[in-house]
Amino acid sequence: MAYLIDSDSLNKNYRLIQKSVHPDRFISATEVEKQQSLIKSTQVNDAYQTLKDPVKRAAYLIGLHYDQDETSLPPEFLMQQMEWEEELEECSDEPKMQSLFNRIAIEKKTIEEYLQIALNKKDWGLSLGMLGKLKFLTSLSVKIQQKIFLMDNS
Amino acid sequence: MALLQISEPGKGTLPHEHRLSVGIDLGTTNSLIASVISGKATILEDTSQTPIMPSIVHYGEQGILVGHEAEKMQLLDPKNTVASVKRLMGKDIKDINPNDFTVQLGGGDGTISIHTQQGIKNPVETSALILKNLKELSEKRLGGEIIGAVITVPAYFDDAQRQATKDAAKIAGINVLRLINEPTAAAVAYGLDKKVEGNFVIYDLGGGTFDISILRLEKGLFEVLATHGDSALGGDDFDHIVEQWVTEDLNAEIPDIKTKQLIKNLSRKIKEGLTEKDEISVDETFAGLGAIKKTLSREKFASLSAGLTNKTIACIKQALHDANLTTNDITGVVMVGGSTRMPIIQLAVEKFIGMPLLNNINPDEVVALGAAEQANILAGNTNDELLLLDVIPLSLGIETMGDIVERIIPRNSTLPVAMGQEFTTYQDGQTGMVIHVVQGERDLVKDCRSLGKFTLKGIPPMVAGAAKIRVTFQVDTDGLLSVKAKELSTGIESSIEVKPSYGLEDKHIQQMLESSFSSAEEDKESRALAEIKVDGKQIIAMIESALEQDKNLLNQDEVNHIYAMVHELTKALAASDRALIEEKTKLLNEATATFAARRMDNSISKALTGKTINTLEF
Repeated sequence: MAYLIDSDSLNKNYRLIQKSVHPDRFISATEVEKQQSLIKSTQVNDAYQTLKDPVKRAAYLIGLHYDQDETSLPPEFLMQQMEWEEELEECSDEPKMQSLFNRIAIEKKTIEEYLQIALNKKDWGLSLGMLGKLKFLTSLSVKIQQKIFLMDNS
Repeated sequence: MALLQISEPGKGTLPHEHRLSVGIDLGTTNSLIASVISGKATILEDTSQTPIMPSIVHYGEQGILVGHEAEKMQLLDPKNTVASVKRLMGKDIKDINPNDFTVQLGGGDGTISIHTQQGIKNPVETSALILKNLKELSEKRLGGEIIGAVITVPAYFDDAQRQATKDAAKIAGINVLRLINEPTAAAVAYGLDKKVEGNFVIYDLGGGTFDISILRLEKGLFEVLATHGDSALGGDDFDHIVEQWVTEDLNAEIPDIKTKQLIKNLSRKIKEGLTEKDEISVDETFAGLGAIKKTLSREKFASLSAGLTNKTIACIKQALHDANLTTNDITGVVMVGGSTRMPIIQLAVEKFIGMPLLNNINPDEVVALGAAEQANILAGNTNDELLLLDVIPLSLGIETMGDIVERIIPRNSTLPVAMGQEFTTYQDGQTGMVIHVVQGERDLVKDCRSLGKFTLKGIPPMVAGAAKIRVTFQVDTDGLLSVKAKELSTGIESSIEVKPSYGLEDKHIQQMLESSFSSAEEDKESRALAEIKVDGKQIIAMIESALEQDKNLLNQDEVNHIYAMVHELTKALAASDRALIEEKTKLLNEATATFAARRMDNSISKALTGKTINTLEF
């Protein structure tokens, strides 16, 4: 199961497909075809959004085989979470925040690699645990980015 | 690549001639129409040889005037002259300030009525008059009937405003190929010329509005990554800054409206003068006010209006943030709108982005020119593989308990997009529910734009929370919404198609459409019959050509069934029974639905042939 994907080829294929199914290509087609093109083009956008986002992609892949969608995170990760949150809270300048952001990015990459392994082993429970961590790390990096953005603008 | 192609020239029933199409910039103050002539987008001028038509309609005693003629009536008969109708489109009377208009306005419940000596009019039909005028102008210039138009709308236009624009076109008898966003059109005008690639900022500062769009251009594909803006910021605000500077030392109150208007005009002139010159001196005397003698330098003007300029820069920052980009990722900046002629604006943007700006196309014309290019492509006149992927500018959501908005489709989602949400009942035996659709970024319903409420009926009575209703929001490539609801729990799926209830009803539009034709009843009937016959023949030709190409996607029974339906329609076309032709056309369309779907899948695999598709394998 391919979880780690090449985003360049994802983008390229997405564009190729849209070029063949997008409603703009069916301006003078029959009503039926217009309808089909709208449906397909919508599905392709949906698929692209799912595949592009590491969290959505993992959730989708797990969901294909496993009917649970939540799991509890181990206590040591919860401890680590609190430490990161505190660190962000105390961050007062941009270099510090950037450094935290970079560390989280590395952490994210590691988790994504674990996720690939867990999915290959078809260990859905383990995959779900990794997904939980990935979700947290993703929302944390969004928070950091937001804070950097606000700091830039003040 | 189209699914069903039209035959080669000389080979089939439908020779592929150049199909006349236009791009329309339907502006607040002025409107323009353009078309691709001999491969080049060209603004079509009216009889007075001016490319720009004032977006003004005069409902006179003798008749209706549009454009330059109506503009003359603005001073003579302001009470019956409608200017800036674009500001009224898709709005409720509560949304606007009636004092901004010289005509008397009324309305309520999501509509606005315009009171004229010709009776009560609405914004959609008024706008339709402008569009009709442009259409007639273009057909005169191009020497034939246009098959369709691309009409531009501001990126921040919500669903109601887009729908109103499309309705106006319908009443004007224009086939809308696509509604596209103004900044996107501007990018098309630049991009096609230069075949550039990269990320572009489109900075659009008009008279009263400001828009930012971030676009990615890549191998014939325009992808809108983010849009942002301020619908209450424009060149008028800069005039106002100059006005304050002009009057700051005056001790007396401005005596009357006429003097106020004179000062306003003077201020605008000073602003415009600063485009060419480094400083402008004023030496004027106003009755009751005395002399005004002072000089405004460009630097001073820049510092006075820094607040406004910075606001626009903050919008660029936000849009870049939304698109996940920094200024280093930007390849170019396109300047749109008359107000971007101001050197102080150009300097500020240049400084922020750190590169020279693209401004060699007339900023007043660039939107219409881009729209014309896009119309030409959509009409199928080029082999250009250009594709425009636009986004929804404002989030769509529904009202939940406590007046909170539940977001269903986030803004900046690529179109077309559909997203669903499941609902359940609140009480035992509940058989209906009201769904309130809103658009906007705020959390409270009252801060968002209400698009309409609709009621779902016929839910099977069950205990509270047992019913499962899936509501799907589909937004098409024009940015228009349709809502579908399905009841899932009983196994029986019922589905309804709902169009939000704001604005005009289809019935009403039909009436306006009919009253806009002066011809007699029989004329209408024979015209309708002729049209439906042409449509029928076209469909048969397209399906036959598709079968020729892709018969292998169907089994023999399916092929036979389609041929049988083609035969039925052919028979019906020989007679003159409109209802029968309509019915047979519908049946043929239904018979080809599966075929169309398989051809679509087939074209996807063709598109990917020879490419790595591991991204699609699970």
